Amino acid sequence: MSKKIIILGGGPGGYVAAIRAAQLKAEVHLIENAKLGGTCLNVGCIPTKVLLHTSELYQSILHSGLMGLKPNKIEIDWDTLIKRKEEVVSQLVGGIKSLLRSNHVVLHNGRGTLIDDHTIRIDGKEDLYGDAIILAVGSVPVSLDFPGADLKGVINSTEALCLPSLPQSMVIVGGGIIGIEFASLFASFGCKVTVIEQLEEILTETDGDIANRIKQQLNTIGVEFKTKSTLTEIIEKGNQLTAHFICQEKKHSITAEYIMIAIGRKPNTSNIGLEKAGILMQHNNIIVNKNFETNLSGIYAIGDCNGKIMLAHAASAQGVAAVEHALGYKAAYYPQTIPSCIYTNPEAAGVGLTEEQAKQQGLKYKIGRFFLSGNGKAIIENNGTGIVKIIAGEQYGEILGIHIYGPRATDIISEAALAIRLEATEDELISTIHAHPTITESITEAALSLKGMAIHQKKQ
Amino acid sequence: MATNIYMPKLGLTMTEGFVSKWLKSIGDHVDAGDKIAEIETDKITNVIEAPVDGILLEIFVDEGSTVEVAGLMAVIGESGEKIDKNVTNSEKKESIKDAFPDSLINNNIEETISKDNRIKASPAAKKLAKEMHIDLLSVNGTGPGGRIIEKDIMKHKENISNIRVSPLAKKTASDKGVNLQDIKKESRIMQSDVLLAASQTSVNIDDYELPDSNKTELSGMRKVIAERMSISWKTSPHVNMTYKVDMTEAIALKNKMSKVSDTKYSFTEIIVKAVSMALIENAEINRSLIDKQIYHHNTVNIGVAVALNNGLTVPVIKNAQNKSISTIRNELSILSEKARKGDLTPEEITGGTFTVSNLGMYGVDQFTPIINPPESAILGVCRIVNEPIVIENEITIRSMMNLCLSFDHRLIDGVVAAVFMEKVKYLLEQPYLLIL
Repeated sequence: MSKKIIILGGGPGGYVAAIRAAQLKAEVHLIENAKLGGTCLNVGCIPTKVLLHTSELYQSILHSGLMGLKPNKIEIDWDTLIKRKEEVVSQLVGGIKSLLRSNHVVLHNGRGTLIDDHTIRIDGKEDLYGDAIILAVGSVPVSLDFPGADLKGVINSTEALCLPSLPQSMVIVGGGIIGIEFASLFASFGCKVTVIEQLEEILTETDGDIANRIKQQLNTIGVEFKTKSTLTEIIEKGNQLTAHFICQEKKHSITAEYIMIAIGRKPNTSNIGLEKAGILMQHNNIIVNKNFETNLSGIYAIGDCNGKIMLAHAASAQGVAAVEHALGYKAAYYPQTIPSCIYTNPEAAGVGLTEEQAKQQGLKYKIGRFFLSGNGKAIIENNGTGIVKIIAGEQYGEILGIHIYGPRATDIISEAALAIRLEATEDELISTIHAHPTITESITEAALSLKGMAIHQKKQ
Repeated sequence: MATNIYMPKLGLTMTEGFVSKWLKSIGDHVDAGDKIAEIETDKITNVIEAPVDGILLEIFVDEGSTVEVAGLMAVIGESGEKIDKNVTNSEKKESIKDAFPDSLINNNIEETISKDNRIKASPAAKKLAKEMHIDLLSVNGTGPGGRIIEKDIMKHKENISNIRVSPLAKKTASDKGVNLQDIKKESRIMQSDVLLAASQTSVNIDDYELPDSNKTELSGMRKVIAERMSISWKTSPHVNMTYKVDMTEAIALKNKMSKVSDTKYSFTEIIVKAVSMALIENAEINRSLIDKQIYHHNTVNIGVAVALNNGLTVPVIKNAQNKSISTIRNELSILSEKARKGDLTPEEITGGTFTVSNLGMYGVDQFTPIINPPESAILGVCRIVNEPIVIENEITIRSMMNLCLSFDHRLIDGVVAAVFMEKVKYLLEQPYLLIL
């Protein structure tokens, strides 16, 4: 008899886990109370990238005179863009639905609550029993409690994706990846954007070399940064909102049409019966072991809800690993190969350790850098803005981390992830022949520069 | 005609030599006997001399690199002469025979070489190929003139053994001395597998908090000693045996000899003489195990360990079985002097069949010396101390000394070693037998 797997949540963690479990001949039940695809598809990765893609095109066309194009007139058609966003999302959601159907996954539309280690109750009435339960309940934006928090016009990332029109000005509170991507999006469309960040730097999880470049680039399209600044209050003034904040003990204020709160996300673990069933949690994160199993045997928690790393592709990988373990297979999950991407213009992507992390861990490392001003394809595409940076072990030259800032960095980063997965050293990156002319040549060059041998870089 | 200069084979176990310095440059005129290069071999830095007069036409080996035995190092000839890098087999064999001890010439090594006669391969490569059961015909040679060198065999082995290993794991394995073939794993070998294997065989330095220390490279003589002793310890199952010898008579003999000849004698030459005589009678000790072949040595060549400031060296008394105590003494004193000055020639430190290590002057009562490969036994000599001894129910004071033998149990069994030691003891307790 096949094992029965119940999956709570249909995001990129849950639906991928469902399909994998079905491939392994389990009877799979997936419970979702909203739309399939979760945050990623509906209000996260996908819709933001639709808007970012158009914003990037807009910027390209604006500056296309230098590229030999003379557009007569260029206008932003916000309504069509929002419609396209919805179409892309619904196309992908529809795709998931048909994938699940073809894998014979039973879909339950409703809110699931954990009753005990084998039972999930749907909408308080129907009980489902399973051999294993996968919690894939995702995360929600963290909201801030401050005077003016519930004013109309104070929005989170979900709301920022469906504004009725393109705003003229916006304040973004939070200089993490979400805040920075929205800053890039709105500023590219000509909106005046100010980012308020509590810490000294933005993008603290990103390699410092890359974060600095992103900040400089955003500056050139008019984004202002207020770091070491703490929001205290928002006051409504007619159609405008004024954000008051303290920077180095001095009071400041900025006025804008919208104020977006993007200070992070937290696991969506309240009110689904976890505490009552005895699942151990820390803050809102469900505690799991290396197989993503909770303290209750047979119950797994994957993706954002275990708080390990809030990325869609990590959730999918964890989902696969969890069901494989639950069904008695040996799973492979290599967190060091999870790339992190920032869809600014140009893009940034990194995998493995940042230089800051390598330093903090006390590793002996060396750095290879290659500036895209030495790369033909990058000069064609964006005048050579960007860098490839490699952090490699001092003794063996093993790849500890690669960080790319440049055109299609998010696509190119997979080579770096593969290098880490296969324990490649600088030598394999050097001896692998990269096509010309491509941005990827810069990976070879950065690897060569670890040895002071970069070809298209002036001798130091 | 141009004369090729090869890396000489300076010892039975030598497979390669390290070129530490070129003393002449390309284009220099050399006279026969001129020193042209310094090479590091077992225990000493040695000098290669020009065999003929001429111009140093070409140097094939950089300073600081290692060359397999009989590898082409340089060519001497006339100005403007064409150089032929291809080396014929007969030439090579001539060059490597030079430093073999006589007793080892008529042995099976030649046979294995002649079998693959038409294939150009270095002796080290052939030996390795035989060990690994690799057909030389299937190996690509990358040495001068397409010769197969040791590296090619290793490369071939790697290719055929089908070991899947990550580049990082491979580098780590080579650094930590882990043999990848020892790691049993179905899937690809990753660094963690290598580190696990390394931690099972050695101290993992990462887990060890180092005290305040200065670090220097392991090099030169220290490196040679370290490598040879590790090889010995890893390959030979050592058995230790201690005999208590009454040296009262030997002391009397030594004093008498010193007095009548007005020359200072030491116990070392007396013990070397006794050991030589005992080895002739117990030839099973006087053997070497090399590459699954047993070499029965026809001569007794006794190595005597000499301490130096930065290590030790073992000059060899050749044909000790034919030499008197006084000859041994004279040779030893010359060799020790040369050892201290670093002037020993390769011939003087190779070809040993047994080693004596005397720590008696340092008050040692017991130790377990490590066999000097490819020898099969080593005798540790301890101090002489007056002890109460019972002889014919009487307690008398005698001068007693411990002799500590370490022997390789692969070739020598306990009884054989004991019979040998009985003989040594007997000879030392009746020392006049040594001068008959």
